[in-house]
Amino acid sequence: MDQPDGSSSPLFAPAIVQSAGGSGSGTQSFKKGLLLGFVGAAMIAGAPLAASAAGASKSKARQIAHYLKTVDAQPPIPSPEWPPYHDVHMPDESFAHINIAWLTVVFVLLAGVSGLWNFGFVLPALGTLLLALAAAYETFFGSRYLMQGFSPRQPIDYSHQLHAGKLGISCYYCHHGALNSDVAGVPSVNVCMNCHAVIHRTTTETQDSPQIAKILAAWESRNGPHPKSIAWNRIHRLPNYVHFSHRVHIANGIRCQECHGAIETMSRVHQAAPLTMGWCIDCHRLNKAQAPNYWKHAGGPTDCNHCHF
Amino acid sequence: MIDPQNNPEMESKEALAARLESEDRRDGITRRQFLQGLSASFAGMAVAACGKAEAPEKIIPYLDQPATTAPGLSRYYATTCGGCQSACGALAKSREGRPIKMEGNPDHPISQGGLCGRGQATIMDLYDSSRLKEPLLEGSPVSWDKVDSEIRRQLDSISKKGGHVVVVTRTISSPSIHAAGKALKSRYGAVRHVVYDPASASSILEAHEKTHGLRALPSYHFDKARVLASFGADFLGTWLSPVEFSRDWAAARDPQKMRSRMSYFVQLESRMSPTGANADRRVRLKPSEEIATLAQLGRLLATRLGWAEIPSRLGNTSVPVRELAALARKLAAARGESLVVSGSKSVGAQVLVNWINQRLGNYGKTLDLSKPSYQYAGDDRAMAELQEDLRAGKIDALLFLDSNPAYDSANAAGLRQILESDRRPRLMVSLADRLDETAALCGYALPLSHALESWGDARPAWGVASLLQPLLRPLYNSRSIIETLLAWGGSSASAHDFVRGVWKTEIYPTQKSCPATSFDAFWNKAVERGVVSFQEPAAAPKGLGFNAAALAAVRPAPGVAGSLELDAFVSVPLFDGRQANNPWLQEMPDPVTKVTWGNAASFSPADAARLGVEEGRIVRLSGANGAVAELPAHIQPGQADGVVAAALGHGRKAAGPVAFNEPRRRLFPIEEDAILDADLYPLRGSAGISVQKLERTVVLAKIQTYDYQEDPILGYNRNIVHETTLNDYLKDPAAGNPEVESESELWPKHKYPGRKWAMAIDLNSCTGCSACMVACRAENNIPVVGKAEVRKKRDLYWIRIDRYYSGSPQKQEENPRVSQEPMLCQQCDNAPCETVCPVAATSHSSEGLNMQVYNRCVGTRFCENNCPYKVRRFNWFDYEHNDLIQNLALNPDVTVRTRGVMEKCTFCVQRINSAEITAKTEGREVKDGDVTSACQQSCPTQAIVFGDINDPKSRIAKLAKNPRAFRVLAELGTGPSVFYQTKVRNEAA
Repeated sequence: MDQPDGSSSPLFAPAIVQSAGGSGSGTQSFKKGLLLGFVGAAMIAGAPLAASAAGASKSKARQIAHYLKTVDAQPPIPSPEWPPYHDVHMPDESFAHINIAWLTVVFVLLAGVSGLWNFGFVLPALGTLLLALAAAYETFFGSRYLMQGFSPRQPIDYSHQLHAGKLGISCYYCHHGALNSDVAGVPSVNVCMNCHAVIHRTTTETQDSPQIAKILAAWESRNGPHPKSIAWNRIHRLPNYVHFSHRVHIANGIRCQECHGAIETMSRVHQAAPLTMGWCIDCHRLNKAQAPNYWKHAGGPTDCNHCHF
Repeated sequence: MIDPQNNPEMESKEALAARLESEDRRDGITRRQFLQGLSASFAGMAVAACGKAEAPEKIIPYLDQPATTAPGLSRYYATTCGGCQSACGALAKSREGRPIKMEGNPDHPISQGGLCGRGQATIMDLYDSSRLKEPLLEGSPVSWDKVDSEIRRQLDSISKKGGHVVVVTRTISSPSIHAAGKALKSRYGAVRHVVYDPASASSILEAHEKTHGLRALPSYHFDKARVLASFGADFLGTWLSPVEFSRDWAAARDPQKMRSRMSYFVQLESRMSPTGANADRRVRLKPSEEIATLAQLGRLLATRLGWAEIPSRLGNTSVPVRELAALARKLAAARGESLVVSGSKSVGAQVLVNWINQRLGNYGKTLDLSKPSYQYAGDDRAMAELQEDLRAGKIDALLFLDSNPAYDSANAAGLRQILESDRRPRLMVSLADRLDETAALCGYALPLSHALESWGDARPAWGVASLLQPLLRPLYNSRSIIETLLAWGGSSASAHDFVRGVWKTEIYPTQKSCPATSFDAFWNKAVERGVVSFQEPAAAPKGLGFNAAALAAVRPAPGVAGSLELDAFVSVPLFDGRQANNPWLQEMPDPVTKVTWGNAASFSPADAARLGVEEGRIVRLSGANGAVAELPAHIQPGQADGVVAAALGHGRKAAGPVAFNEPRRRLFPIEEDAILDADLYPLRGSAGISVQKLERTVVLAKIQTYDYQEDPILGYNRNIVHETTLNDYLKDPAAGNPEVESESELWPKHKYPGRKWAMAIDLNSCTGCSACMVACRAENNIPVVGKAEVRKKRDLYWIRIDRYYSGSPQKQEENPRVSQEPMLCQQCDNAPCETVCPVAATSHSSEGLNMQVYNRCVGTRFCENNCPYKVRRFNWFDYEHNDLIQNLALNPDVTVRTRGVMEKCTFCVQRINSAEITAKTEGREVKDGDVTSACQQSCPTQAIVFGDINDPKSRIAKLAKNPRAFRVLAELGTGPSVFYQTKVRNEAA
């Protein structure tokens, strides 16, 4: 369905959410966000979102400009106590060459083993073999294999620090699938356009941002012969045979950051948690008394077939 | 020494090099390049093998996401099943814009929530790459615009000259198609509409024209029939509207509700049909003796009840008089509450049936002519007349709309011959989903949209209008019948607007479904529910007279030439063969013979012994008309002697690779019997056939090869299916359920503090139709394994229907009692599989489920060996779809298993989890009825009930406590969670 004005659905309204200092629980701020979203929807009811509809856009632009000013005036949102793994950083976006490098090490060491063995250097060969095994272990079972810290460069230099942290936009505004679907989802381009139809640059930039221009280009392509959406790089990927449902975790009051780390501080998102079964089951097994205090809602089913089916 | 310069036969070195080079280059690359590529790809493999050198997975969101869809959400749309003309209601499940499953629509008055296997398998027809993808003119692609303008021009010129245009279809009950057809008629003048059905009910319509003066198909009410006699009508399998009839029949078979009024059902038939397998009393009857037997029954009734007319003896019958007298006594005692039906193609037999029903006072009660059914309107005579006219060269244009008479009409060979000859019409058009037997003969072969791709409607019965809505745009450049007729009629309306317009004028004024104030509100409601009821004018006056003269005109059946009589039937899996390229249906077993993948000729054990034919022997059947079919023999207990029965719809060569079992991918390896010509349509015209035994034998691909409950080695009855008779049941509700002493339990009992899932299956309702097997396959991504693997007993069904024969040793051969028992993982409390798994891949959940964790399984198959129910299945290969496009039908909620992994029924744990999560997000507890397993959802008789047995108010908890409940092999102490309800037969003990 085409939604040229986006006025009918709260999903398409600019739900401008001021986070209450980040101290409120996720559900509360979500409800507030929805409420504000509805208010926003009512405020711009019937207002065409397309950039060409100038008159209505002007009032919307004023709203957003006013909002940005108030945000700038506010002190930065203090980050609550988030899981300790949020400071894991991988400096480079490419993870492929690291493993190729490790594999090269393994191969070179194994070549060394055979060479040394051929010339009768048994002990050095065994030592090299041990090294090769260690390298192989690191390659296949080390923390990098778990992708913890994986932080690829995205096609658009999108900053959660700016949108979620500084602007305080609710996570569910873009990732609304987390509320009613197993899949949180990446926002469709029309959701970006709710704001970026009028915001083409940040307050510090003097000309239109080339990053935002990519959104506009994708949006413009939608009715053309070759519609082309934005291909984001997937960061969080569970292994095969696992089914994970966002909506039940949200319904149980788990906050996004408990698995995704302090996402509102990340200018480029990385995988904060190891996302291993042991890590999942640790939380599912613990009761509230045992859990660290940043796990507000620990405890969950531990039957295999809640996730594996 | 030979000098190459002087020897012309010798090549010079240079010439040799050049030749080798050129040979090397035949496929575009030289050997050197090939080797270079090979080494490069090895290097690539080495890099790829580390699994991480690939680019990260991409997430590509919608550009403009529709408000109605989101990733991960399943949406259900009410529509009408396009599998056959019965027009059952369906709910199509859509995921990210892809239809992935067909389910029954509980609001639909015809199907009442059920959907047969063929209807569910229409999903595979949608994702069939053998479909016709673009319009073809004499075999070359052409645009629709060109097709339309050219056909319009030709039809215009034909109608100007006063030529004859004929449209050939199967039965179409759609008001919109009829309205579009009217527009076509008004533009081109005399357009003749010829309707035929491969599984024709023409004799019933014709008989009613003779006896009641109204050419109509009555609606049948099997739920109101206390005594039911069926002469070869397979109404639980294929006859007219099997889903509707199954539900009604089962309603009258509930011993708890009906008590002594539970229906008594006699089936007189030649082959063992799924319906006969469910009969209280089954009588073997040759097709040629049907008229004589009906006349004899009529004579007995007429003398008993003093009816005015007594038919003459119309030949001899081998059915004992005792048998018929007992039936006549029962029918006479249940006047107005009885029903006699016949599946016969003979008008005489149907006239006799009408007469008996009329005099028993059944019209208006158990069958109704004033509220007729529109599901079958085919006229065999019209098709025969069309052939005459074609032969005389009278027809100028022939349009086939979704019909394939060159394959499945009576005398298809004759039709093919005419259409290939010079007398064929100048304009021949076929609108079909594939380049089938008829489309291949037509100048224009036009692609037809699938039912899930088009707007449309159906009017299956009096006062019922059912709507079709598209779930996706056509995958290929195809069009629906309505769109095509509109284009040829010169209308530019879209199919949606046209259907809406027709409903506004024809349905809305008298609709009774919703208190809608405006048409828009009504239309939205209709689209939401998929079906509405409306007030039609009565089809016939109430006291419809009976014309006794018709009875006098009935003649004895003609004698049968040849050694055996042929019963060529439409089977439950393939029906008339229109879905022959459907892998789910090819691997769906016949409910009685249990044969998959191909046809078999059934012989009675006595005939087989007489002819020296054994199971799997190839026989050649030759008809009086010269047609021949070669197919393997199957020995069928309970079949009438002197009859050979084989299914129609097999052996199609133009349907696609699956229909012909042609090797495509590894899934369908080359079969030694792939070349068998098992098409029975050419033989259908000849009642008598001769059988010739050939040298070859094959192994039939059956999914059940042992038919008895007796232990094959020790010989004692294992009492797997509990049965009793109605008399015993009325005395003691626990009759047939002996108290079971289970062996002492070795393990401590599991605790189920919260929910415990369990299932109940009513063996009195289960007809063995196998719809659950297809539902399970669709829901759980169960792969099709192919013929060779089925032969090795490696089929992957999570639920199967076990069919057992019982009775005395002699009766087991001649006319056994049949029991159908759905068998699935029993989710045992003390599961034998769990204790033997060396890696704990199968273990017990806190909700009573026996869990199978695929990523932990290493494939020892110990569990399979230790399961007394034999319900565990092993993935011997990575089973690919033969069509990769069919991957679109996979259910994303269920893992696609890999090679080397055990699998089995999970009680649809994905549905359980989803219901639990939904309840959680809505802040409530799971209610009874929140979780329906896939097999339960589509069961036409609602024999399956699923729920939480720890909730004392749930249906399942009550059924588990019912005295009829028993558990299979409970004496082993496995503690199954599936509670069967004893089968109660209405027969003398």
